Amino acid sequence: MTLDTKVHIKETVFLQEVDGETILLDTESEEYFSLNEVGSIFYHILKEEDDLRVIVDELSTHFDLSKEKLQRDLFAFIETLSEKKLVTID
Amino acid sequence: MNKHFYAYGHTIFFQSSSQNLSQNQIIIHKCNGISINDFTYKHSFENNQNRVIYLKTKENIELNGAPEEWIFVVEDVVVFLCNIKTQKICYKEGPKFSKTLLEYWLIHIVLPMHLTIQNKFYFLHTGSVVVDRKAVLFMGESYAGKSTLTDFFLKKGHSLVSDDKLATFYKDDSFHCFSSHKYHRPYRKMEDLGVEATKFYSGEVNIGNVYWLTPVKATQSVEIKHLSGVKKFERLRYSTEMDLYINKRKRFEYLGRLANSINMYEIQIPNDLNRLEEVYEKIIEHIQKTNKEF
Repeated sequence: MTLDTKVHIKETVFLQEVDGETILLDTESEEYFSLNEVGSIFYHILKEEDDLRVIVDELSTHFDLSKEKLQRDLFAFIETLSEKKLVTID
Repeated sequence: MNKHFYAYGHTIFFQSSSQNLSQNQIIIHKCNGISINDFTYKHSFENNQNRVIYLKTKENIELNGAPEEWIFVVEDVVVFLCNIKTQKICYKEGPKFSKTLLEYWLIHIVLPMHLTIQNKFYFLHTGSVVVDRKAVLFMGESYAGKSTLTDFFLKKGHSLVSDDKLATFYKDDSFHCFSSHKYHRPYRKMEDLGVEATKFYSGEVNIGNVYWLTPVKATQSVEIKHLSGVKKFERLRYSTEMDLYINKRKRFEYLGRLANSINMYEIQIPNDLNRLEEVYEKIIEHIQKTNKEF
């Protein structure tokens, strides 16, 4: 994966908050996944933006971490979503 | 078989006349003109009644959503033809047909399926009784003791709301349910409706506390702890009935809203029938305490 990779959240996936906890639901597979607070922020930004460079910039306004570290965390997050078939990667 | 009966907030009439029906009335009548082959798409269901059962539709519901017309087949017993617009269900008798089997499959599967396809209700697999004017729900895995606990509450004089499938819905910023039917089955027997409850709550009631039953060793204590977030959501998801491939997003969203709205607790149930009185008292005490808090 590179910063030029395009990531798309599947149309069948949506987010639901229950008692402050975040759950990702895939109506196609009928699977659901819980996100921690950091994952929830990653997901919200990813939902609005498909340019990973812009996403890393946006994340740097939320977290006091280097862009390199944020990029690694973002890639790991996307790979996890991809393994669970919640996103497609171009 | 009665000429009419109550089930899931509706009055069900066994007759063929085509009177004007209100939204909460359904007519059941016999017909012989059902051609199963007209319905191309087949959706099989697992069941524990040793029957081959399946839903058939004319269009692919995975692509086209809720069907207007569909049939439900209990092989060799009965075929139901349902139309969600006319509020009429007709049935064709099979070689092993009996009125008892008709009533069983109608009440247990066809009516909940009909009302789910109509998107009227979200069905939950739960026992439920009235405590302090609210429906208290008992959920859990198979053999967790849902029916046993429901039966114990009935013996204590509470009214039955549901023994198996509960019709829930959202109205006026809160979640409600319609009681299911008057039958209660505190034992396991195939294709058996059970016995009529002495006290049955017929109609609509607010949903109160929800208890997830966790069986523990006979010597362990009866403990109650609050459940929230994903743990609450996954237990509601597990308890979902009539999980058809229609209105999926709406149904997931409903479940999320329900999870946010209700108070759910896990209760340890010791594997000792002699301790049910203790479980009962603990739940009543807990309901009174939580009613004051909320």
